[in-house]
Amino acid sequence: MNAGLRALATGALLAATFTALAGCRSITVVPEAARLPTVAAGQRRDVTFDLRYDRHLLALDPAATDDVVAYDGEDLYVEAQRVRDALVATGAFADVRRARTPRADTLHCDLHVRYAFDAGTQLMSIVLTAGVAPDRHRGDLLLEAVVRAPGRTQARYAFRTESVTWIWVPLLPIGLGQLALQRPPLQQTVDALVAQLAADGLLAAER
Amino acid sequence: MAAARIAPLLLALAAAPLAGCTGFELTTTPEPAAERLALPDAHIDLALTVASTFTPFVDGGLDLDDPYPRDGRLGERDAERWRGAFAALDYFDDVTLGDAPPPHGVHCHLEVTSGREPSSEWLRTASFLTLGLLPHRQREPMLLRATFADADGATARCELRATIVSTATRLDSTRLRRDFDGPERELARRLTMLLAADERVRSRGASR
Repeated sequence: MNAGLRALATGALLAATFTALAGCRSITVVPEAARLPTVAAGQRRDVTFDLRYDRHLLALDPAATDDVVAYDGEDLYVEAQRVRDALVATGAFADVRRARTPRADTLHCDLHVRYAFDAGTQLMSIVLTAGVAPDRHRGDLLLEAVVRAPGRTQARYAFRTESVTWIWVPLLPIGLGQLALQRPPLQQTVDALVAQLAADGLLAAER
Repeated sequence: MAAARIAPLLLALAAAPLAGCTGFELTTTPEPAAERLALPDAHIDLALTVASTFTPFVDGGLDLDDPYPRDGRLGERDAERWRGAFAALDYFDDVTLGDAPPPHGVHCHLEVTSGREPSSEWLRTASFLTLGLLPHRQREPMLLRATFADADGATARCELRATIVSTATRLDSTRLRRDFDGPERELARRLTMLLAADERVRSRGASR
């Protein structure tokens, strides 16, 4: 009996350790992109972008029209600032600006972000069980881009990113560490897009 | 005994953040003439269309080169906010959202361009940590262009530049969007005063 309990406890400990090592927030970008390139400061080109941002209230379904909120006004401005910061953080561009009308001599990306977020039990399971029961949060992000580069035909890209976060008291230190160190889902998605642009030769500055 | 005296004060302090942000100061150009602060009776209907745009707050003003039209959910809310502001004046018999001038009234096409000074991170944090008891002020420049037209095709245009300074007293009110419509009501009143000065509107009201 004691041996059985010990085996059970060991199994539970191993499972907890495995879960902890796997991280409490996992982010998966599909398709998997190449590594973000390092572009020398003198080689970076300017980029402009325009943004559409849809919040899907239920699951992320690109064909859905109901339960979708299209952001406008200051809501869209806030998201455009986040996308701009993400493009700047790739370190691949000399200047990043929003432009509703593309210029013929500048790389331009028409971006459409769709986002859905499932907040699990809204932390109620954590509150009700004093942190003993975990809560699972899931974010789903689809980034579609139409890219126009001077002298090139326009190209279309799509990246889908799923992020799963386990909020559980034993994993809190790992979660806080990840929050500080891990690139967030939007950043990883934009990284994937820029890496693909580089692979397709769209980042090379024309001299 | 002392506790009983302090309790109402503590309650008032606790209620302050919940009450939210309602205080504001308003300056407009042009300022309305003091003798016309009260609106005369008109008894006409108003149909209203609103084209609203957010622009970022840059160097104390609006960055008109980077517009974000409120053409979705926020646009609908803004149109309803302005409809309510004009209706609250008790100057018009009926105020509706619509494209055509009513038979016994005027149509107003209102272009609104506005932005709000963003809060700094430390102010947002301080506001959160003090449960909103650390108030701070936010500026909100606004440009209003109103075109009034009656069923006969006669038009009148007026333009107002306004700066709203509101006191944010809770975390929500540090955001880019205000959750109370006091300034819109006052601005609607000032726009209507400019309209009321038009003799055609006076005669239309008198003829009913």
